[in-house]
Amino acid sequence: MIPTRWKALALDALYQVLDNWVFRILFVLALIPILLTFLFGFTEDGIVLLFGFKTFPYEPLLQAFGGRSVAEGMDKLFIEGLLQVVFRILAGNFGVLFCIAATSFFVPRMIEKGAADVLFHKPLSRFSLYMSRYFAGLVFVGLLSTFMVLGMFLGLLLVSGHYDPGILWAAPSLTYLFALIHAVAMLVGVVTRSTVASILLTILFFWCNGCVHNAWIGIETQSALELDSVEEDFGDPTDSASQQSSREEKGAVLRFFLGTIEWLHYILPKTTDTDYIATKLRESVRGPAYEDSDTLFQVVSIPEEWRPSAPAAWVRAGRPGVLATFGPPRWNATAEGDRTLEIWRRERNKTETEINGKTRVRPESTRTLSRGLEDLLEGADGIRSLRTGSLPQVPTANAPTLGYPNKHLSWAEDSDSGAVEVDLVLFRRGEFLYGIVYRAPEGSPNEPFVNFLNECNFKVQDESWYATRLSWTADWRFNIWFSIGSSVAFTALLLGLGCFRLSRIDF
Amino acid sequence: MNDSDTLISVRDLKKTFRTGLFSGGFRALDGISLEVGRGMVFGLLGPNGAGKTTLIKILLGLVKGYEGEARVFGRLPSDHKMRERIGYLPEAHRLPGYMTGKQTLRLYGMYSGKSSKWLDVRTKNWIERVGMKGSAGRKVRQYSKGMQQRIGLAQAMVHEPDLVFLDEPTDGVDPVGRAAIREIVAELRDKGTTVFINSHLLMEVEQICDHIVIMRRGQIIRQGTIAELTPDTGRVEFGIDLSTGAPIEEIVGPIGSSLQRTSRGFEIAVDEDGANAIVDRLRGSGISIRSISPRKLTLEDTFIDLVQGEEQ
Repeated sequence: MIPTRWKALALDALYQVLDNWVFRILFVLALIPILLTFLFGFTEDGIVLLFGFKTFPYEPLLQAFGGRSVAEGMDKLFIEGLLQVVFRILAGNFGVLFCIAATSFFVPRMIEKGAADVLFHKPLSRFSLYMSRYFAGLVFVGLLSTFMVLGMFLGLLLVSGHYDPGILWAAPSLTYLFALIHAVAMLVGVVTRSTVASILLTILFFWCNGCVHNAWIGIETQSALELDSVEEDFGDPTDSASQQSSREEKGAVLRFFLGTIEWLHYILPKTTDTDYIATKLRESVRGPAYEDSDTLFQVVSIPEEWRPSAPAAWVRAGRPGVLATFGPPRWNATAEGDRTLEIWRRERNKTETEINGKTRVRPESTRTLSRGLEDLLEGADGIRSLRTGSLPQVPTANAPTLGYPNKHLSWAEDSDSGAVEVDLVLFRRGEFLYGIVYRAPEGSPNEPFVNFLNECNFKVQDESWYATRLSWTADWRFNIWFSIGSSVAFTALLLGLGCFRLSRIDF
Repeated sequence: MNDSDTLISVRDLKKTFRTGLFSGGFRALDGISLEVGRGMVFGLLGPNGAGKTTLIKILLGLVKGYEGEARVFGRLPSDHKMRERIGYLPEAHRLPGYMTGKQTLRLYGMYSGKSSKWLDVRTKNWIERVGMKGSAGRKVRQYSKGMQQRIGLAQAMVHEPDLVFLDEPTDGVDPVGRAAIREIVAELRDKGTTVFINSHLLMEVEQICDHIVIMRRGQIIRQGTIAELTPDTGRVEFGIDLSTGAPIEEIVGPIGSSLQRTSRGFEIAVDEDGANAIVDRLRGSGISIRSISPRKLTLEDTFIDLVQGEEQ
């Protein structure tokens, strides 16, 4: 197709969008959160109205809503809350529904008698015209979301001094979500030729689709938690696992239901993943001192005494036994007085267990790893004062969905530079086991280690198992690339069906 | 007609629309064959449901799944490229209400492959030609039916096509606008553009068209030039002063036959010599002759005769 026609299709889409009254209403509505970010500034002291005209301290505000004492970083908390409400709830749910209502007429109106004759006799393929309506919808949402996100970003930057380029990912994320749904509206529109049917059926699909994915996530989470519970609480999983296995065999109907949910999840566009993907993308831009994009484990800021450095020689050489299976550290830092910090991570080993004639895959737990290390340390030369327990500050405490205690091992050992004390904290997130190792000359206080741990947490605050499981590098069921790929494939299928239907219509 | 002069060629064209899952369907075209040459103004007539619009839509690729052969510019109707040279004003068309008249013309011109720059002057010219200069900046949805028809006509012409299909082009247009449309069609013919008109306004078709096809129930029941379809009846009408109360039958006497009085005088079946003789007799009787006009069949007469005759 010659560029002139592409240009014409783009112009047509733009005219159609700009003339849409719902678009104008949404544009005005999008102004509201933008104005909020310009009118109100969030500072460490409180909420500032109109560039300092009046300041509302946090404490009375919190107390009015039954809150407790004011903590550090309230400004960030408020900003995060505002962003969550605007992007996740308003734009991600209501906004998308509005956009469906506003764009569902594109195809039915295009193929109405009279309108179709004028348009389809032009030297354009029906495929091009159909796709132009699809992209018109994306332009509709893209413009709106870009306007809102960019406006809020600037408002927060200029008034609150909050620089978070990661929130800009919200615009493409919302457009991506809409792209998945708009294909449904287009197909319904071309089959029924009715705007009302298109709106209602698309919203119904959006809702049902969300239910399917949330059900699947719920099933997976429950299954993972049960397995974790077996591993962490009881050590020997066989008895409890067999109970679980017998529950699974309870009914063909239940199995059919679970199987259907599973298949539907894989086939349908994963609209619910959009939110998680947006969070991961956002976090990947924000950039804390250290972060693990797979699990969203992060070190928010490093205490001043610590300087990230290349792995020490003894680390590079590797120590037989302790943490040898972790490979090289993913991050490490040094401080004065021959003190070092390292963060290790590796995938959990998996073993197969035969229960009631069924083979079950059992991933390695923190407890199992800790026990193995204890055995190793107890038998090693030069290891003294081995103690085990758990620390309250360690990140798993921030993930009460899993809620299992971390393992803290500490011991003294001899090294080339003299006697050192080692603190090792083991914890788990999703498919990974972590170790944070602190080494300091014997007799040093371990307070710097505790301070460091206080800076560690998981970026995802919704405490969702699925949020940590879904990642760019996870196995295919929880892989973001699979999520996007399968969703796009489904969307392409719907668009193909829509084009096919359109090609068969006699106007 | 040479092959190179043939713009439209249709042979044994049949089209059946499905009306239900198990019914046989409705046959809209039943073996149509015709050829349309370059520079012709071609009229397509027929009662409602004759298949005129279906024929046009097949030629434009809007209706598919037909039997027989249809070619436009020697290409199949499904060929997009061929449609660059075609303009079409559909009956009861609906132009996008979200654009102004000017934007509509530019956009549809661009859809036909013309560049924005090329369209600059043409758009302006056509807006003036269809009498929309003062309203081109308004949204199409604010236009009256006649104004929409004018912009619709302009969009069919703005890319300067070689073949134009006009389906009820004067529908909703005032008399001045109709005259302008007739003028436009005449200009197009002079420039060698082929115009294919589908209209129920037979007087206009008679004024504009060179060649006419009359369809009924999906078949062509008659086709020919205007002269062929509107032959002389062999009767002559004499316009005279009726106020004298002269005995016409006595004056005319045995000349001619089937004398009938009319509001303007009388009408009689007579040959050229007989007509001269009647003139002499009228003049001899002191009757003032205001007009003498040979009576021809109108297109409407032919059309009604054909359609009613087919029904009987």
